Parts: sequence; C-alpha cells; structure tokens
Amino acid sequence: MSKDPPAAFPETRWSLVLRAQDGSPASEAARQALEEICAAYWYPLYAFARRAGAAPADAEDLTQGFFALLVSRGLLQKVERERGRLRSFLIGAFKLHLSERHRHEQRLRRGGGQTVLSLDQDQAEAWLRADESVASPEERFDRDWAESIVAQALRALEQECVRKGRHQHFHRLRAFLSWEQGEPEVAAAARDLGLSEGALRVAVHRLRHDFRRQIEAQVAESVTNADELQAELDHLFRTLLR
Amino acid sequence: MSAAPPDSCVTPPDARPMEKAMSALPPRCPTCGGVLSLRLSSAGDCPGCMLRRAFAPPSVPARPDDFGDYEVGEEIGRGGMGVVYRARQRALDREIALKLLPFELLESDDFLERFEREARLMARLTHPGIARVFEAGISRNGQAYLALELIAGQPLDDHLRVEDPPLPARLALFLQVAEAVQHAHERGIVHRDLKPSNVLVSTADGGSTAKVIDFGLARPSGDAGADAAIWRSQPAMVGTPLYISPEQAAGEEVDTRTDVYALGALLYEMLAGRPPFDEHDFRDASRAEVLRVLRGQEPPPPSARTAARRIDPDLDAICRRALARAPDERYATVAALAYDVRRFLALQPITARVPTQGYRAGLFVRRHRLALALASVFVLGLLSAAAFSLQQARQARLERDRAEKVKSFLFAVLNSPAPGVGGREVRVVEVLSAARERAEQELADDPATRWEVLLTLGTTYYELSQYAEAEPLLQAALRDAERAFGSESVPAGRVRKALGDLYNFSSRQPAAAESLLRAVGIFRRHLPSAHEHLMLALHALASVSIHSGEQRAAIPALEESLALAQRSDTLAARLHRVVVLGDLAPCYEAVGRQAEGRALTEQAVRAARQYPQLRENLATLLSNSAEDLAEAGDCAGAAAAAEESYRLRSALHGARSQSAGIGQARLAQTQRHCGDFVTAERNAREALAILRSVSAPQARELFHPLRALGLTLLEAGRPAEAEPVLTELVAVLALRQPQSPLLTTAREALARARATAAP
Repeated sequence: MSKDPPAAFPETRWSLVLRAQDGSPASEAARQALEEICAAYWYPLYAFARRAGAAPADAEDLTQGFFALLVSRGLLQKVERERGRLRSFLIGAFKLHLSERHRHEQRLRRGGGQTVLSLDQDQAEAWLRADESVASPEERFDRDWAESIVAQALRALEQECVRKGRHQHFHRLRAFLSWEQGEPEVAAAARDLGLSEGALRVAVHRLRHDFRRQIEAQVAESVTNADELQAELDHLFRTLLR
Repeated sequence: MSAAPPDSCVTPPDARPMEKAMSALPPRCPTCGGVLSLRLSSAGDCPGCMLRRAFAPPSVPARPDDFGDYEVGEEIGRGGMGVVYRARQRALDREIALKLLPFELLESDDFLERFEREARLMARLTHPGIARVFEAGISRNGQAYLALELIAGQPLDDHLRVEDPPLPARLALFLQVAEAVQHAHERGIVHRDLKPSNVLVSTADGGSTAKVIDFGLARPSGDAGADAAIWRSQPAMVGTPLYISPEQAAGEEVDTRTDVYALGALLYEMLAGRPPFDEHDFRDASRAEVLRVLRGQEPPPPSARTAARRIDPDLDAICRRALARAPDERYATVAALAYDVRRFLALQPITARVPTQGYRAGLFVRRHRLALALASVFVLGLLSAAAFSLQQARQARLERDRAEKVKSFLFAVLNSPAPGVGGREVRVVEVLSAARERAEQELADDPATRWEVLLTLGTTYYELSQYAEAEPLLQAALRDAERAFGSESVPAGRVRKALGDLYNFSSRQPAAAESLLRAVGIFRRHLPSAHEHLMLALHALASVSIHSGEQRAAIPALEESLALAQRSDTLAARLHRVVVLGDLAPCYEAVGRQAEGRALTEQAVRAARQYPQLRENLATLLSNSAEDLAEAGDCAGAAAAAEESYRLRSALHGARSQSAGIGQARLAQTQRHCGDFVTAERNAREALAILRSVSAPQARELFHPLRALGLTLLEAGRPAEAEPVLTELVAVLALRQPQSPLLTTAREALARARATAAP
C-alpha cells in the first residue's frame, strides 16, 4: 500500500537482527543490536512467563533460554509471519517457546546454568507484585512492552542531555514531563537553573519535544518499515492511554 | 552480554524497597488516576501522562489580561492552534480579532524566526479574499499573538446549508477562495488548513463574498515531527483529516499542492454537499488507518454523492485531479485548478480530462452561442464577397447566391432539434456533426456548395477553440473546393488560408507558413478579384512570424498587406489598415526603426479611435504607444496612454480579465521606465496574480507582468528578488517565443541579477 520504497526506511536494530537470522554472517552490529534488545525487553517476557504460571526460577530459565535460542539463530524460521514488528515477534515466539516447554525441558535444564543476560530477578519480582491489574496476560505484556519503550526513550533522552551538557536540566525538569507544574514549581525550577520563567517554560517544551522524538526513535528501532512504525506507534498510544 | 540492569538509569536506587510496592493500595497517578506500575512511577513518572503531554495538542492559553495596545474582550473561537478573542486596538480605535497562539509552538527551534518572517509576509498580504493580519508579535510574558481583521460572516458550510446557492454561484464562490489562496501562494505563504470553517462568507446586495481566514501563520511548517504529533494527538481534529492531503497527514513535507488538495476537497463538498470521505470513516480511526484510507481509496465522484443537483462529469474530473493522492498528479498550482473551473464555466474543454474525441463531443454549448459563432463567420464571408468590383458583378451575384444557400442550409440544420437533446443546450458536436452528415448526404453532388458549408463548420469549430475537430472538416472542404474549382482556385486558397490560421493558433507555425504561402500564391494569380483575400492572407502570414518572435520576417508581408488595404475603400479594408499599422509599428521598433514605429503607432491610435469595432485594438495600440512615450522620456504622456488602455481593457472585459491583466502589466512596464518602482511593482504583482488566475501555467501572456516585475526589482537594486521572476520569464519566453529578441534581453537581465545577487 505504501509508496515508500523499502530502502527509504533506515536500518533499525530489529532489521539488523532479522537480516543476521537469514543466514548471512552475523555482523558485530547485529550482535550488538540483539544484546540491546535482550536488555530492553527481558522484563515483559519474564512477567508473561510468571503470569502464565511459571515459578520465578522457571520464568528466568524460560527467558534466558528464549534469548539463547534467539542468539543461536534457531528461532526466526519458526515464526515467519510475525517477523515485521519486534513486539509481535517476541510475544508470538515466546508463546511458542512456552508451549514447547516440555520438549525443551532438557535443553532448558542444560541452558539453565548458562546466563545469556543479566536479569535482576528481585527487581522483576517487586515490579510484578506491585502490578495488580486484572488485564489479560497479553494486555499486560503490551503494557510492559510500552513501559520498556518509555524507559528506553527516557534513558536515551538523558544520555542526549548529558552529551549536550544539560544533565542538570534533565534532572530538574524531568518531573515536568509527567505532571503539570504550578507557578511556584516553575519559579523554583527557574531559580535553580538560573533561567527566566519564560525561558524555563520554553526549556520544558523543548524537553517534551525531544522526549517525543525519542519515543518515535525507540519504536522505529523495533520495526522494519514506515507502515509498521505508524501502526506500532498507534499501538503504543492505545496501550498507554487506554 | 550486557550486564547492566536495563532500567538502572531511570530507577533511582532509593525507589527499590519492596515494602513500598507491597503496601496496601496500588499507586495511582495523581493526574490521570491510572494505576501506576512500580517500574516507572518509582522515579516519579506516569508513562500515560508523559505520552499524553508529549504528544498533546498545544495548550490553549487562558484568557489574558489587556496588553500592549489591546483591550481583550470575549472569546469568539478556539481551535487546535489557539484561541481567538474580540479585542479593541486603542490607538486606532478599531475592533480586531486577537489570536493567541499556543505556547508549545515555541518548542521548535526556528519558531521565532519563522513567525517573524511569516508575519512580515502576511502583513503585506492585502487581498479582498484574505483576512488581514494587522500585527504579529510576542507579548512581554512570552505570548505569541496575532492581531487580525475581524470578519462578519458565516462559515462556508453553514452558508451553503442555509442559502443553498445554485451551482454557478457555488463555483463563483469557490473561485474567490482559490484566487485568495493563489495570491498567498505567490507570496510564499501556504495555508495548510483550508476547510469550510476557515472560509467566511458574507452576503450583501445579493452577492456573496468569501474571505479566507487563519492563513499559514504559526503552524509548524517544515517540522514534520511536530506536525504529525499535533495531528495524531488531536481527537478533536477528526474534522481535519477530511480536508488534509495524504502527505500532510503522513507528516511529510508539504508545499502549495497540499492546499490544492484541500481546495479539491472544498470544491467537492461545495458540489456534493459532503466532503470526499465520510466523517465516520475517520472516527476513532488510528492515524495509520486514516492514512490507509487517504492513500488507498479514491472517493466516489461528487456526482455520485448528491441528488440535489446535476454535477457535470467535467466537475468530477476537476475534483479527481485536485484530490489526486500523489502531489505530482494534482494541478501544479491553484491557478491551474481555478483555470479549469473557469474553463468549465466558459463551456470550454478543461485540462483535467484527456481530450478525447468522445469528451469533446460531450461538450455543451448553448445554442445562441453556436449561432453567434456561425453568424460571425458569415459576416466575414459576406464582407469578402462584397469586395468584388463591378466587372465581377455577375460572378459576385453567383457567389452571393451560393453563400445564401450555404447560410440557409446551416441555419436550417441549427434550428432543427438536435438528435437526443432537448432544452436550451445542444452539444456542439452533435449539431455540427449532424450538419456535416447532412451536408455530405444532401450536398453530395454539389461540392461547389458543400466546400463552403464545410469551411464554415470548420471555422466555427476553430472559433470555439476546437482545433482537433476543425482540421478534418477543413481538409474535406479543401478536397471539395479543389474538386469543384481546381487546386489553384480562390475557394481552394480560402480553405488554405483558414487552415493556416488554424495551424498558427494551435502552435504549428511551420505548417501554418506553408499553407498560407500556398494561399498567398493562389490569390496573387487571381488579382485583382482576390485582392482582399490576398490582403488578409498576407496579414495572417505575418502573424505567423510575429507569433514565433520573428518580427523582421513579418515586415514585408505587413507592408504589402497595408498597401493592398489602402487601395480599396470597403469598411473591411479600412479596419484592416488600422490593424496592420498597429502590427507593423512594433516590428519596425524591433529592428531598430524606432522613429518610424512610433509614428505609425500614433497614426494607428488616431485611426482606431474612429471605429468602435476597434476598441480592443485601440487598447493594444495605446499600450504600445505608452511604452514608446516612456522610452522617449515623456512620462506624463506614457502614463496617460497606459492608464487609458488599462481602463478600456477593464471596461471591455472586466478588471480581472486577461486583457486587463496585460494592460496593467504594461502600465507597470511604463512606470518602471519612468522610475516609479513602487507603483510599478504593485501593478506588476497584481497583473501577475490576475494572469495566473485566468491563464494556463506558462502561458505566453505571462511574460508581460514577469518582465515588468523582474526588471523593476532588478533596477530597484533587489537582484535576489528579481532572480526567480526573471528565471520564470526566461522559461516562458523560451517556451513560447524562442526566436524573440525579448528572450535575449531577459537572459541578460537574469545574468545581471545573478551576478549582483551573489554574495
């Protein structure tokens, strides 16, 4: 439907990984991309496994095993249809992974001792217990996923601020991203940063603008073309603004 | 593998304690009330609120206190791009509309610069169809505002619903809007949000006037991200996707063609009573879904959407072209769109349709108009018939009898009902082709009569600008004439003359020259009886040279034509003399014979004043005269002549006609000569706007205002502004008059502009 030639969409983290899975030798960039994906999205999968009834240790094994498979490039052929978007791929492939857990029991045990990524189980359990929503596991996966996107965007935004020498701005104004601040807060923040109130409001608007850009960039990294990007952004909005 | 916990950067260590998370109630966001996950909220973040705020519609400012020179009154409107208040400007004691822009616009780095630049442009935008911008500024507390003309009127959609104007009135209203938008485009301003609620219509004295409001200013432009975000985040903008171009909806870069699309949607709604897409198609739709509809579906033609009025297929075609999903497939400019609507109103073929035989055959022409075209051909024919001297009295009588026969035959056909058509309108091709069929059958044995019927029919088509249909008829006429009278006969010459005119006006100059040379040769051999035919054919031949910009080559033919005209004393010959004088003068000047040229122009002006039939020629002559006088340094005389010409053209054809536009451009040229750059620039710009709105893109006559404007700017020391104008001038001349010395002059001026504009 789209008139955009596929080449017009830049290489993304996910398209790099996908190409590496097709049998071409995995480049350093692809390996790096895969690591970043694992680091960013382990929690939604871990939480999904837990909600599906796995004990904490099993959930960790399942998640580690899943990423091990992904790294060893044995997974993608199984889920051809889901390849476009990382999110649908992960949940689709992970469900398959769970349903095959009996057959994989042995391998899982073998891989159980092997750490593919560092996964903070205590923290994950704390997050999990704090989440009392009654939504379906799939809906909760989507929400966890969306929060991962937001967390990554925030981290990238912070790094960007550090690079531009505005680390202080970021920390002082971060709260302004979520909540409207009254005049006193504006005045206080302006004082702290040595800005006029007008300049402070402009700085807040710029920070929001940059955050928006980072959200779009993070979502873009998990798709392979412009149509998917749009659909994925829409999905993000639906999930978080429900 | 990465060892770092993924969220360490956003999760301060002190947020870890588990007791907090496990205490009684799940934390909720104080703003949206949503359940917060510990993951992000522990750092003070609510992801929903963050997203909502980051992608939120610009905040709407609270009602401000009075500021500057403005007393702020009640709110009169609000939208995604700010709130509008009624206000009073104390110093000028006038009521205005004060628009306060959302603070969020400041987030883009170049906002201030763009705001000020556009404000400067907008302040110069004075057009009756555009709400004025009196002032734009930033108040002391950082509030960007616009002081706008306060307009009484109702939104276009309400107007159409309440008044339900007939189709021509709807189209006239649409043309007003299109002209206003084109005016802005010429000044570098794109509206970007054209929709019925942004067009206010006021009715007075039975006429309706449309004004476009909310022009371009302060919309994020060139910032695709911000654009897209505003679009996406406004559920209230459900109304806007109805008029938004696919590229704008996608957040891509847009240009004037996004307004062409919106105008197409507007026209569609003015015709069909509803926008191209249904509002409920877009309700609750995600942006991707909206885009899919905009890019994937072609709306049904307006004619299929309304039973209230009959929509001509031409109007369907105009809408389809304006609403093309790819910008390249749309009308390139609003002027081109308006041109087609005008051509539709003038019952001429539109450019949006591939000019197939079938399409042209469907063209409606009112019966009286067709009769008029036929009658004018006859008057000319009879005039030439009257040219015969006494010696040919008998032959003349025969000619006249035959002409009478032709005339009665054609009028009989015209007055009989056209097959399958009732009412006041007839299809021109049905009548003419019926006439042709009857001529072919009933006059099959009488080529001596039939050739003239075919000549008349062919000339009629050509008078109606139906060149493609005219040609086969004239070819058939030529065969008949040659069969009946021989290939070197006067009738054969007359048909060749008509063919030559046809080729000349359909831009086939070599064929025209060939055909006219044959005609001239034939008429020479039939002197003295073919005297006036020769006079006309020579003039036609000269006209071919002039059309190609070869003035020198035109001179001998014009001189001979003039000499022939001076030898006879019929009205036709006397009128012809003036016309030829007028054409000869600029040819002399083009080859350096200025004094003779000027004298001839003056002579022609004096002569033309005596004949009301020559008022149009007088207008042209006066323009020529004005330029002569200006070059000779007589600025007062030049101004008088140029202004008289302009008045005459306006009186004859209307102030916004092509002729008036040319007159105004030539007035500007005169003023430039006399150093009045300010007035010259204003007139040239107005003329350019008029000609763009009535002519095809790159039409020949555009060179008048382009030349005046380009040279004015150049001579006024503004080479950078002159450069694009002169570039367009060179393009138009290279296309339309490649042989003309004007092209050389234009190229030199362009080179000068580029050389001096370079830093």
